[in-house]
Amino acid sequence: MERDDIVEYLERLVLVEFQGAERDRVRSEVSKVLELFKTLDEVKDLDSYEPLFYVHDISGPTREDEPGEDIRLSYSDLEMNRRLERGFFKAPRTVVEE
Amino acid sequence: MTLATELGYRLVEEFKADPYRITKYLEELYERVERIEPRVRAFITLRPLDEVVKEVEERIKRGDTEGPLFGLAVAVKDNICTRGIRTTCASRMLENFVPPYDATVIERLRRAGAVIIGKTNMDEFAMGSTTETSAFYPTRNPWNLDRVPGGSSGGSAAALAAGMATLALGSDTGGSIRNPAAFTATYGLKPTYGLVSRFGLVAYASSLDQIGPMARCVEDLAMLLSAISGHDPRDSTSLDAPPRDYLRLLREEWSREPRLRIGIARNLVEGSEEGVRRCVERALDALCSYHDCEDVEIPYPRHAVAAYYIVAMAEASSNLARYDGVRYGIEVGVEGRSWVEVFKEARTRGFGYEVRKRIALGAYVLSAGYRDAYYVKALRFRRLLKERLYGLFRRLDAIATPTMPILPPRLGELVSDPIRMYLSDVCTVIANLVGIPAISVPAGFSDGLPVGLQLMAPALEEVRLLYLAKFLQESLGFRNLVAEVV
Repeated sequence: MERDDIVEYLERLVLVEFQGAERDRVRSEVSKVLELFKTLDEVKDLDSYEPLFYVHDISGPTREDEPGEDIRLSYSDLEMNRRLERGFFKAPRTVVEE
Repeated sequence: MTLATELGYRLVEEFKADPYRITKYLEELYERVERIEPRVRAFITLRPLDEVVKEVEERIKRGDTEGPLFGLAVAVKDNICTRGIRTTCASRMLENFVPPYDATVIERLRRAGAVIIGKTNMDEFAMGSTTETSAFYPTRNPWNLDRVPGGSSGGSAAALAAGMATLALGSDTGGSIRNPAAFTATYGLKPTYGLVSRFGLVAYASSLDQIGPMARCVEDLAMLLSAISGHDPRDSTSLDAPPRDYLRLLREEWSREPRLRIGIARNLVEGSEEGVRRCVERALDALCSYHDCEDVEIPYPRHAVAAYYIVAMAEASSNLARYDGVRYGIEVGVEGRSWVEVFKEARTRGFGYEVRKRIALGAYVLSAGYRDAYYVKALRFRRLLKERLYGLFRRLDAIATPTMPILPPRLGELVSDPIRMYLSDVCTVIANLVGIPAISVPAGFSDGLPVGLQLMAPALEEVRLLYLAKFLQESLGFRNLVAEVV
């Protein structure tokens, strides 16, 4: 493993924590998964293939870039899922890190 | 045979003659659910019977009974948005999320007259092959309650196999429809990428995800595919494919009886457990008694698993970045700390271990210095695999493999060994990497445990797959198999 502490590095990358026994477990599993990923090095002449981002040679039609009326959200729709105050979403009060 | 366990395409005929039979059907179905669900736990959210009956009876009163799926009870995987019905992705992160809109497939189901009876259990954010990474509880296999039903659409498959739904929707990123179909003796189809809209599907890996139908016979699968497929302007990856009546096309193909050229992926058959191999060989004997078969080799199967997981985890890390506890996800009620701390708290409490691990690995393979070594290499492999597979399709109409190389494992057996779990996707990830359709068909039982056979075809050749699946259904007699849960 190239990193001194892979777990801390991963935690920083995606803003999650691994706690207690999870830390050893994830260290061991990540190492095995990366070994599996490295097996791609065994495939000959892979560099001669262009990366395939989209599977089809054809693409679907695109719609006009105009506002539609697909979804009409009511206040009560939003209220079901989020804290609202005077029509605004309420986010937690946070402080700026020095 | 009770109404509850009758096949969908027969029920719709019966309901046309007498729409009020639907009430009796739903009552019988809910009786089964009440009896079986506590042991199987296929559902996360189940709508009350009276609410469902009321919805149907109101439609009957309005004379709105013409839909091709009118009255049929559908179980929907809990990562597909349903207006007014909780959609959790089996995650604490979305435990209380009630979508304010329907996914396109749900709009189409409602238009076709189907009745959504509930939302089914799954691996958290579809990340798993056993339905054990659900944050709520594992689902059990109706054929053997000590075994997993497969995943990630394990709840949908278990609901079908236990006779608790007539039709079901799943989603398939690397085999998540076909794996549980194989483990529960049901039918599952991953359509061509872009054939079914992903609008309203909670994203896992956007270049691989595809919603698809699950059922207890090929005809029902075809009927459900007709209802949900077709172009959707709200999904930019949706193909310009006109709506098709797959049941009619299947029947036409069936009456034509074409003899097709089938490639048997010998290396994948040989690499499977003995019980799987025996059932698959028997099914292949039936297939090859009429069709022209030849042995072929799927190139680099183990490497396909590596490429698949690199792409899936990379895309997941991007898709799941939105869950910060403010825009999406649980509110943790923490105030007065830094934004990063609040964000981290919500993500750690909201995501289970497997999800955190996968998004972390995904971010790692995309990070500076590693992107070319992992992510870009996986995309290059994806093209290689597509070229090789289409090379085979120049002389073959379809390729047959086992769906899963193993029998349904005991609970806890596979989830504790992630590499073994990932490698068990060896036969299914190929279709997702290449964007082609693939179907899982019941192929028999080994020690009472279901085994599935997979067929793959070039893009948009769903009718060919349905025809071959029907050929196997009629030859092997595995149709409408319902487990007696004891």
